[in-house]
Amino acid sequence: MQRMEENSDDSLSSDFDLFEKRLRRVEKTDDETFDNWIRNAAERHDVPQNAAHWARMERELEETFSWKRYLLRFKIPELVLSGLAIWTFFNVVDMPLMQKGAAALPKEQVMPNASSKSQPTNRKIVPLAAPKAANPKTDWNKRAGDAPVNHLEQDKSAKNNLLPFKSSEGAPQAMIQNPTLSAEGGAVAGGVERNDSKTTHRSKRMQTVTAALPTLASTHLVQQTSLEEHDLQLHLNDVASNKLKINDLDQQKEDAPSAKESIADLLEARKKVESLNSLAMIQPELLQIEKPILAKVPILENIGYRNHRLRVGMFGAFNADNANTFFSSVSIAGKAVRATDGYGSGVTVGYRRKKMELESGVTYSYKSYRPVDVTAVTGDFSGGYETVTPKLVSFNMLHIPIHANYYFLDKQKWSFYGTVGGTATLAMQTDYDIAKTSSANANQSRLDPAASQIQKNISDLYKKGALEGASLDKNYYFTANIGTGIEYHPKLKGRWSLFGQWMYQQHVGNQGVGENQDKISTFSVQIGAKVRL
Amino acid sequence: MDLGYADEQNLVDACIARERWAQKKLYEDHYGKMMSVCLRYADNEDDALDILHEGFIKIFKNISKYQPGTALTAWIRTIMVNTSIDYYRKAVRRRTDDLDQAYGVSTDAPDAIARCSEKDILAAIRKLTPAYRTVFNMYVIEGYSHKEIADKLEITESTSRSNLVKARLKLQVLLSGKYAAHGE
Repeated sequence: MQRMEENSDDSLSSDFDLFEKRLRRVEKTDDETFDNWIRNAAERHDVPQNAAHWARMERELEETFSWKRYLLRFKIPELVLSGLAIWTFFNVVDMPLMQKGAAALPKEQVMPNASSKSQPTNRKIVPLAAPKAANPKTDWNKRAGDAPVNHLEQDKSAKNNLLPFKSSEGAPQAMIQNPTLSAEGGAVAGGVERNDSKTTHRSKRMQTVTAALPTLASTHLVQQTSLEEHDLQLHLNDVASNKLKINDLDQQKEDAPSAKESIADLLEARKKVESLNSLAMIQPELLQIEKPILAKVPILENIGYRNHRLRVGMFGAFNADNANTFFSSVSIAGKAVRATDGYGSGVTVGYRRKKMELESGVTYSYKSYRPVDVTAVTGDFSGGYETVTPKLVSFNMLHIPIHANYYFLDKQKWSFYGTVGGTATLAMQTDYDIAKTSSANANQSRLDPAASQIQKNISDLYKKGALEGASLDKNYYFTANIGTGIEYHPKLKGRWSLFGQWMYQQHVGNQGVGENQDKISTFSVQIGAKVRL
Repeated sequence: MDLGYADEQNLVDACIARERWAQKKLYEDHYGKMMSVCLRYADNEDDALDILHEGFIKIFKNISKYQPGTALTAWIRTIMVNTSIDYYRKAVRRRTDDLDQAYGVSTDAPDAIARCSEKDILAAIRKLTPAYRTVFNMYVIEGYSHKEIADKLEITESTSRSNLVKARLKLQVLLSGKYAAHGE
């Protein structure tokens, strides 16, 4: 009994399956009938002419093919955006870096001006302390052997500052150099300039510093030296007592050799002062002027090892490409501008001379995007038709860049540079993904041969890469490049450095790649390393 | 509109040279059919005219790529359909769940539908929501497969099938109603 029920169920199920299949066939037939009827009706439908529509079309054509529109819509915004990016970089990135050094100092040390409120008015003369040991890691001037004007050190060695010079009679004489009392901070001892390059250089630097701080030294002396010291100043040199202006440095140099003081008198006066004040110094103010020195002295001279170097760089790049399809000297709007991502890598060789570096090399990149639909059609509506359309185009490209880099900021660990130049690009390999579609009523046996021929024609028409037998002149284009970069030097005089740079590469000229001679502009971010040879 | 090969070649060459008379002739020759295509995809006549003009601008820019001797009308139509699809993708992507109330069609619907004019059919198609209308046009009239529709419209194939079935039902309802109205 149970078996009969099962058989009965199976039979019902089988019958329903058959019925369902037939129902589906009927429904499908109905749908196809309905679709055909709609299709035929739609194909028959025609819209009567409207003259006003052509007038509007004409206006749109004139607007579309206008070179003014091309400039306004594409070129001027590009230039404005590029300028804005550069301006932003220099104002947002550069300025904080410049301010960082100053911000690291206490406020009163940043602007050591005697007239400043931060300047103590009742300073005490403190005993001479041992000179602060130079930190070779942070004090660039000391490490470079070109120490800044350090009054402490100079004062400590004051007794050794007997510099020989020749009097008018030609007899060798000496003069005490007392840097603490000199308006130039000791760079010039009694107007006698050291006859060696370091001192000369130091003197020049101090001119720079004191020019920036015009009243510091003189005010300093008047306010904080004892009467004896003041007398000594008069005795040694008229400079301090007369509150010599800093800009009178040259005059002071001329006057000094005519001083009549004897060595014995000078030594005596010196001892007198030492007994009173233990040769006092006012350290904080003297230290204050060291910071501006750091700001004024070109740091490049301390990292001169970076100059005159041949370097090799390797990098990987992330590219944001913008493919423009033009068909004439004017642009195409809308979909003809496609953004896509790509990547690349490369090797460069650069030679740096001072702040300039010339760089070239070879780089590779891969780009892929959807080309503008150029559809070839065979057949017609009534008999059916087939279309052949490229869906995707991808390039393997070779680039030869030439760049000039300008290092506008060179720090101990970091360098910042701007770069301009150009790139010649060669499409080595070009691949197209071509799709074929057909209408519902297409007679495949009739259309396929024609469609295949069209596909072949299109494939022949589409330009291949330079490594695929195509000529070079159909596979290259040029770009003009601009960008900035940052370089990190892990070791002071190490050979290796890491760098990152962004660069905008604007297509120039009429040459392009791909079946539509696409013109590709690229925003590239490159990260890599450079090694000094 | 049926030009000989030489005439067509001359017309195309003149269009490549941006001769305005040739552009006007091409526009006027294909205006009726192409406007009909655009009207099927657009919400209203203004949008249809925008699509038509955008399509013709593409045609005039790409006319140099046309392979003479293939089928100029079909080529123009393909560009027009693609432009219409872009129009849908860019501006008219909306929810498609407003046709769930589609109900059955009476048994005499086919006869009723058969009495509708092309204009009525076009009006009915334009009453469909953009999602249904686009899928219906692409599948029924242009002959795309569901996979191609899914690729072009960035939807799933099942969505394409579902939209087609619902569009068909809705269209049948609309056309039956139109016939009923005419009958009254």
